[in-house]
Amino acid sequence: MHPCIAPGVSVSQTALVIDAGPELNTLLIGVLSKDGWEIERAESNEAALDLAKRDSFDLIITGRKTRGPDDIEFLRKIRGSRPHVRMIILADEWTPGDVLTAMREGAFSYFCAPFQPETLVDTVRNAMNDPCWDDGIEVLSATPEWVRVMARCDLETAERLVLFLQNVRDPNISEGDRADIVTAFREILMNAMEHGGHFDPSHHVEISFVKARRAVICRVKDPGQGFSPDEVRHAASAKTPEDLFSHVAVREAKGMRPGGFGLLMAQRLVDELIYSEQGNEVVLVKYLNKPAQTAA
Amino acid sequence: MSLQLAKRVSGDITIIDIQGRCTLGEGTEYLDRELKKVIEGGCRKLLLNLTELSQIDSTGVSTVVATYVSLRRLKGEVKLLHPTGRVQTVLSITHLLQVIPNFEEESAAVASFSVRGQAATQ
Repeated sequence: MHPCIAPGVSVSQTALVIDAGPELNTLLIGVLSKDGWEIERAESNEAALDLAKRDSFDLIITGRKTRGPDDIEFLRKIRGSRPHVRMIILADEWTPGDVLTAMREGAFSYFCAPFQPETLVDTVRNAMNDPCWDDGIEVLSATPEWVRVMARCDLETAERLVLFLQNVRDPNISEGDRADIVTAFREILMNAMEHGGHFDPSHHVEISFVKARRAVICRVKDPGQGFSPDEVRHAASAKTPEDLFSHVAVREAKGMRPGGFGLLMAQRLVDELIYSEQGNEVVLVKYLNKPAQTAA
Repeated sequence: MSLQLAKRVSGDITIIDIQGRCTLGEGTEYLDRELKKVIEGGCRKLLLNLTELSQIDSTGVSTVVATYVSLRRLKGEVKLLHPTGRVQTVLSITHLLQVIPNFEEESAAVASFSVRGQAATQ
C-alpha cells in the first residue's frame, strides 16, 4: 500500500485518454481497464480541457495530433485547476526544449516519437501506481545548457527522470552518445538513491546536467556519507575478464542482492567518472562524437 | 510487470525466453527468483534466450552473473542466446560476452551443450 493511501481505502480512479490513433488507443485502454480504471476519451485537447473542467481525472494521456508545445500549454491549463493530475504527453512533433519545459511544468512523463510502446505501458503503470508523484522531481533552475534538479529517492521517480532524459533529443548529440549518457546516468542515479539515499523517499538526490559544445557533463550528489571507490570490494572492477566475478562471493557473504556492475558500466560508457573526496558526489563527462556546428 | 519469462525444455537443456526490461525492481527480482527455482529443480544446462530482451541494467547483468557463478559451482553451464542492440552493448562492455558463451542461433547453442556433455563423458 502506498503511503499516500490509507489502508483499507478503495478509490476509484479515472483516466482521460485523448485520441492517439487506433493502435495506441487500444493499447492504453487495455492497460488501464485491466486494473479497473474508469476511462473517458476525448478527440482533442480542447474537448479534453472541457471534460477536465467538469470532472476530476487522476491521469491524462495526450494524443498525437498536437505538437509538443501545444500539449505543454494544455498541461499548464489543466494543472492550473487540477494541480495533482498526472499527465503523460505523447508528441509526434517537438522542439528541443519541450522535455525540460514539460518537466518543469509538472508533466508525469514526456514521449517524443518514435518511442517503444512497452516503455509507454510501463510508464502508464507507474503513473497508475504512484499517487504521490508530483513532489518527486523539482527543477531548481534551468537554461538550455544547464539544468539543476532535485529528485526524491524512490525507484519510480528515478525511472521518470531517466525517461525525461531519454526524450531530450538534441540534434548535436548522436543517438549512440545519447544512449550511453542515459545508461551511465541511470546507473549512477540508482547507486545514489540506493546506497546514498537507501531509497528513502524523505531523502533527495541533487543532479546537474551541463551541455557544453563538445561534451555533456552530469553531476549527481547523494545524501549519504560517501565511500571510496577504490575500497569497494562488493563491486566489479573487471580490470581483466578473469576477475569479473571476484566480487560475487563478497556480496553473497554480506547477504547483498546480485549487483556490483553499475560503476563498471558507467565507467565504460562515459569518458570520465570523477568522485569527490567524500565519495557522495560524482561527475560524469561524455565527450560528444559529433561537435556542435558553430556559426561562421 | 515489465519482464516476461517462458520456460522450455530441449532434452536436458532448460531454455528461458526473456522478454521486456530486466532492470532494478520487480523485473530482476522475478528473474532471480525463477532462475534459482530452475537450478534448485536440478537444471545444470541453462540457455538464456535474450532475443526479445529490450533493456538490461547492472542489476540484470548481476542476476545473469550470479546464475552463472551458481551453476559453475554445481559443474553446470549457462549460455546466452542472441543479445541485440543495447543489451548486446551492455553485456559487451561488462565483458560478459567474453566470459559466458553466447550464440546467434538456438540450434548452435543447444548443440554446444551436447558436444561438451559428450566430451566430458569420453
